[in-house]
Amino acid sequence: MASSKSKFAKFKSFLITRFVFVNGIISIIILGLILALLLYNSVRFFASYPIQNFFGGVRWIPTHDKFGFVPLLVGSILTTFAAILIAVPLGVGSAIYIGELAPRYLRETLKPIIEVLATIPSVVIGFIGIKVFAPLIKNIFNLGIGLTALTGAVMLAFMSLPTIVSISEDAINAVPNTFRYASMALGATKWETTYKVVVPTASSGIVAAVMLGLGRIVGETMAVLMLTGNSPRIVFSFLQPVRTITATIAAEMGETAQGGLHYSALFAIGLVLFLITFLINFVGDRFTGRVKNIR
Amino acid sequence: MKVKWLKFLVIAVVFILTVTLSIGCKTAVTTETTAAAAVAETTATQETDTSKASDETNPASSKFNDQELVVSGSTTLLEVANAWAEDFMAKFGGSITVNGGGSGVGITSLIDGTTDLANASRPMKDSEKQGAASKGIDLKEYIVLWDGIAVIVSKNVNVNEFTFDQLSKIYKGEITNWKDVGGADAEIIAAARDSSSGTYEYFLESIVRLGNKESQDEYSDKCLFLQTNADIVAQIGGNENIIGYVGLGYLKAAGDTVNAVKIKKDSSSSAVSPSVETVKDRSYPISRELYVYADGNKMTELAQAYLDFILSADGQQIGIDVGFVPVK
Amino acid sequence: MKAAISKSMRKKYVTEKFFYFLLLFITMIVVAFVLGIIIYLIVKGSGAINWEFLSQKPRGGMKAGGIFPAIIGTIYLIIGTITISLPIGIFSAIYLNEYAARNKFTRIIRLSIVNMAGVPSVVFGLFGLAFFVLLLKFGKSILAGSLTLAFLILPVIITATEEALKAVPSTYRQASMALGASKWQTIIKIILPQALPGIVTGAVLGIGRAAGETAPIMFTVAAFSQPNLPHSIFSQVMALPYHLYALATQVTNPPEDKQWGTALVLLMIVLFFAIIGTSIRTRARLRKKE
Repeated sequence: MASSKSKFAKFKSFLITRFVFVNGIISIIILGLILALLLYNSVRFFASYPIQNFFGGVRWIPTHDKFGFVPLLVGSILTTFAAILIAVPLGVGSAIYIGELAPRYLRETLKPIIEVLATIPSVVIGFIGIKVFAPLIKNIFNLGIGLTALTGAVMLAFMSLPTIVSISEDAINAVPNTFRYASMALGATKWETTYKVVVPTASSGIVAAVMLGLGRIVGETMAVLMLTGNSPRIVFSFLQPVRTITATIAAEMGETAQGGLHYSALFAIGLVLFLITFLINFVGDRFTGRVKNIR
Repeated sequence: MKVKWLKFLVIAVVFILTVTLSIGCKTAVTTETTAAAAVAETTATQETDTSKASDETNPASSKFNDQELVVSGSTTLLEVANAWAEDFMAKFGGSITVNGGGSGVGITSLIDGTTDLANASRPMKDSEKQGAASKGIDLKEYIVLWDGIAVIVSKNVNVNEFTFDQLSKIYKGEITNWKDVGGADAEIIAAARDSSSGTYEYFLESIVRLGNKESQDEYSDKCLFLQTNADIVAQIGGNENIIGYVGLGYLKAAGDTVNAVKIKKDSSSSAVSPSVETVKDRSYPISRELYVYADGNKMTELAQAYLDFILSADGQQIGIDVGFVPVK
Repeated sequence: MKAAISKSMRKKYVTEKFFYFLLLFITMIVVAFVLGIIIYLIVKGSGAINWEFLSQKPRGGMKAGGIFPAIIGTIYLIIGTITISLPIGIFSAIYLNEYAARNKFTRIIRLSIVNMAGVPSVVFGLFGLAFFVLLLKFGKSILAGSLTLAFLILPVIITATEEALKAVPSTYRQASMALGASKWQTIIKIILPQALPGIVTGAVLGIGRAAGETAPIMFTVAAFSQPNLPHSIFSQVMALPYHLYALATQVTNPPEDKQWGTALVLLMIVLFFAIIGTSIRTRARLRKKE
């Protein structure tokens, strides 16, 4: 009697362990499924579309089976570059101010306010962009139309700020106070301590913050779809409409028959996007790892 | 400490229950007490004729109440499809979902079986017909409305008419300044629809390629490719020096925020402005049929009733109200 | 000599003040942007919000009436998403914190959670379309949309739950086991109740994220127009984020106040969950410090 009970308990604990294990590895399963679906369709795409025409092609015209990736890549690079150019000074600047210089009460109010930005849905940001920022950009630069790479980039920059500020500020906070005391004891002012001791010590964390912000910018969809004008052409100006990788997928995703060339082409650019963000986040995480070691 | 959390949980659960219950009540109210709802609806409605609709609700509504219908496709037809669905549901019940996406999306969804009816602003391509046949779809085609494609420009542009050739060159990027077509010295911004749109294809074939089947001409990649007709109206209305094209239905909705221009086939023919009358008598040169496609093998009672409705006098009148031209 | 020192000190002082001011200015730009968006939305949108707007179906081609079906659709999606992702997320965190050995395999799991959090939402949409909608043949439906969103917010829930589990002192585990409780009993009866605030935080923050996402639902569930309540989990619904996108780009000249009103309602729902989530977290952290 007793032994059968313990047998049952053993069996139960075995089942529970299995059950918990399956849940534990769910993220691997999902990530694997995503990658598998992307790969499967990409392979099918490249089987019937020469890979050099994809990566070397300069025109994206799905209706005529021209899938040149270059215009989309240029569009993504252009918006991302402009966004990061705006986001880094703003993000790192406010992180230094909040983390090092602001009085305690100010810091307790400023940080949550900036973090609220992370929760605003991107479609709302895109909406505000259409209604407020696109006309503004149009008037400032005297353009014909306000839907440009820059318009999208400004909004993307702000969307990446919560990530950049939050992680940079953590890194700055992680710098041991002994460093500050030592520097001050040697006669350095508070500002000198900040930019000669604290910021360099926290630099790997700041790099991580920027990388993770970059990941957010590259992957953002709705705001760029609504704001950048979606012309799939190669331009080298921030004041022209461009089309990004993400916007292309969102705009054309349901467009062709399942298994069609266009359908699989979208998975191919999805795969490229996946790999780019994967790489960026991987590098970012490497740097955050080092931050933890400082502590 | 634990008690505090329990309290929070209880409050949260109560909140969720209240919300769900109030939704439940709402459904019960709308389905059961139709008379009261009808009164409430009439008082709440200002411009639409729901009052008339609600009177007819009572006998017919039960028939389709458990049935669902999904309609997807052309954004040219999106607003009229939405109006059809709204009116149909008010009169006969049923639950109709309307999706946009573009003609390509609609036809694809029909082939994949994810939609019941596909709206299209172009006829199905041969490749699409083959795809449908290979999936065992008994394709049914309905011409539901006529439509003209209106060429519109920003209010500041003082060009009143275009030939096909001029339009083609503008969209191919060969004419880039308004002064070359009789306007002021300013750069032309050409707005086109994105490639999932039937309007994109139609305009490409009949205007950019001038109807030449052999032609391989393309839109210039300097064009803006906008997602919807509404987007084109909004951008042209809100900016200067832009040219674009939209379905005739959108001209009415756009009101005086944009200028519609006259079109002539070549310099010898007379210029015609887009309107219901000129499309009806076929004198406006850029006009076309609008289609709804269905799968004959999966035709439900509701789908058939909806199709009958849009082809009826009432349905066609809704089309006219939105700005299209009736089939008959 | 003395004068020289004071001059250089003075210069230092001026530089210091300058940079302080510059950094303050930068911070203020960011803060002004955030508050500006919220205040502007409230000012422009609050005029549209009344009982009719919240409780009526859209009418007259979305030019009149309200956004009731979109609100309900979003609530259905939230319920669906959280029912799927909360149990999976909690058990996943339990595995990582209570069962997993400290080895390479566990590190791979953690790495994949971090990377899952970094996958762009549009790629989740692509995945949802290919896997749930087409491969598993759920069609565009509440089920497909909820599953897609559930996996999108899974990392948020796992991370928050694990943090909460870690914070439970190991003496609790030892005491429970010493009293003869099994590992599973200890987890269910001792550890989970202790970790509840953290789990609730994760769930609430996840809901906030799911409620605002557009790209993942565009091709898996969202309808342009479906004024009626869904029949089953295989029905399409309207959802607030997609409705806002549709109003902004797919309807010809819809009334301005309807658009701003929709944006404001969406923002309020998302902020509501975010504020609840963060306040629970802050309170839990403060208590831990005490």
